[in-house]
Amino acid sequence: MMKTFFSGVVWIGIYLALVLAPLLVLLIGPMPPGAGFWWDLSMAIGFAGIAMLGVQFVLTARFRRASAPFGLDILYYFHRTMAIFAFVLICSHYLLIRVVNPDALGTANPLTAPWYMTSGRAALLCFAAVIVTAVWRKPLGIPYDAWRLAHVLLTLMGLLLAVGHIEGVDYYLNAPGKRPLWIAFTLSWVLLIVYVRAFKPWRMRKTPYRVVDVKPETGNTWTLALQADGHAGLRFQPGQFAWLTLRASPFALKEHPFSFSSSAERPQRLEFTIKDRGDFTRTVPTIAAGEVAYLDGPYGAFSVDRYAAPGFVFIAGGVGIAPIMSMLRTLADRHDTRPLLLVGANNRREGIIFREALEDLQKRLSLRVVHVLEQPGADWNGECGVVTQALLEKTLPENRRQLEYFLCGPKPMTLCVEQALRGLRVPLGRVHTELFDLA
Amino acid sequence: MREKWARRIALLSGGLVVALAVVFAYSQNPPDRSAPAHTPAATPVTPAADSVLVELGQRVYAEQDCARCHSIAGRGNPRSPLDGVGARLSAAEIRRWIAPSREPDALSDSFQARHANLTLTEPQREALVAYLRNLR
Repeated sequence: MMKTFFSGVVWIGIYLALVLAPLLVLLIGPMPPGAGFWWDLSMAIGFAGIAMLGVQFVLTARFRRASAPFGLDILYYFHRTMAIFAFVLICSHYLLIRVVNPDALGTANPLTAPWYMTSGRAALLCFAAVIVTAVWRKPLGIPYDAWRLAHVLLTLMGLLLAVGHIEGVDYYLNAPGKRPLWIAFTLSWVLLIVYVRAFKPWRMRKTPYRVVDVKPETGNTWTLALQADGHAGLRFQPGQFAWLTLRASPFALKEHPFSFSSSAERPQRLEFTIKDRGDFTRTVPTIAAGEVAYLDGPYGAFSVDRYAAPGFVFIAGGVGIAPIMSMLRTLADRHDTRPLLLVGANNRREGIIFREALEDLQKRLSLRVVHVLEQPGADWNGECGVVTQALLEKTLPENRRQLEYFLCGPKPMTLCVEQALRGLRVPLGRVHTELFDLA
Repeated sequence: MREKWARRIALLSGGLVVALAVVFAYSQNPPDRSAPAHTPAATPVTPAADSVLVELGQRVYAEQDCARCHSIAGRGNPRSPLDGVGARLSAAEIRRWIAPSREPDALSDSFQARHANLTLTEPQREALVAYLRNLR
């Protein structure tokens, strides 16, 4: 715990240093004379914004060690927040000049304006497109794979145009020592892109996996089993996830994150349980044994392995059972004797995934399972409705404040359960979630 | 929980970056010095015969977007103010700045490059020189 905390602090420190370094470079050494507070503020904000955007690539480069203390999902969340902030900075850079000194912008006509001003304006448009397509991807109906490719290309283009703008304008960098530092900084982003888009896929291609089984579960869900093909495979913590590529080259950026659902103690057979609900997941049932797959992982901080507790409570909605199943199977393989509680929320009885597997696990673990159905049939005599505070109050054991909680399900459910647990005075630091829909 | 921390760290980094930008802008423009930074140009003295030429020069100045890199009386890019340039430079010197020679001289390469974009006819250039000479 303590080690995780300190390495977290160190990585946050490194992030801050990376973001602030270009501004500090501006502050040291010879500077051109002041040109008015708002003018100089606009310039500094422009530099800061672009430095932040560069570091955005670092956040999503999926460095396993750097993401481990936080969980990769939260890094994507952070990436999103910082991207919007950096975009606001870059817009302010332009707007401040627009307001304080519009004459200095010159004409916007790309035919007559100098290239570096057009380059800056084009960069602004690129970044605006990146933000709009990322924040409103679903309402705009942009398919995930196409979006990912566009996201990478648009940011890269925006960044290059912005660097061109800075080079062309040439005020602050016009001092010995500063330009090499700035170029090195820019170049490091390019190297990072090469690492993420070329080196990592190349390494993945050298460590392929084979599909050994595609098994239908209940409720439009399939379990895909993989085996390492000619290499050692990977070890994961139960509850973690990996990016999965099927029927595509690792270079094609057609990968999708899924939680492992198998036991971490049996790494020779890696299972993912996937619900059919998108362009990619629809193809899963058509996959045959023997096909090649690629994995990038494991990632994630959603795991019982990270916490010492007298017992665990799992609350799953629908296919959110997948990572929880991995944790339960792992605990069973380890002969864990701690008391466990699973609250599984589903629409209908027929939709309960792993119903029989859970019954088997109850024989091997000290596990209590409570199913909650939103649309129960006439023959159902279990819990009905959704997971509420009242339901948790009567289900949770006495020592509820000492237990660790793992929630996985649709966002509205997760929010409701978090609220309910807060109402039951469970410390928030003991409630763990995995954020989906971010990558 | 982790989201809350992510938001806090985002706020911290954002705050630090903006604070550093403000420090930069402030250190560049200490309040005691900022007052005379935008002294408006003294009223130009325009001999009647030149006023047409000066007016034409002013139009050329606007058409060529000179304010992108220069300022006059606080309007335009404050990096290279032209206030009082007429008192500092002779007509020949101004002409040399506007259309620098190809030979390497005192003017830096980046200035040469900037002014190389100008598309001026001979009369336009003379009008511009007259306008700038008039800024005293």
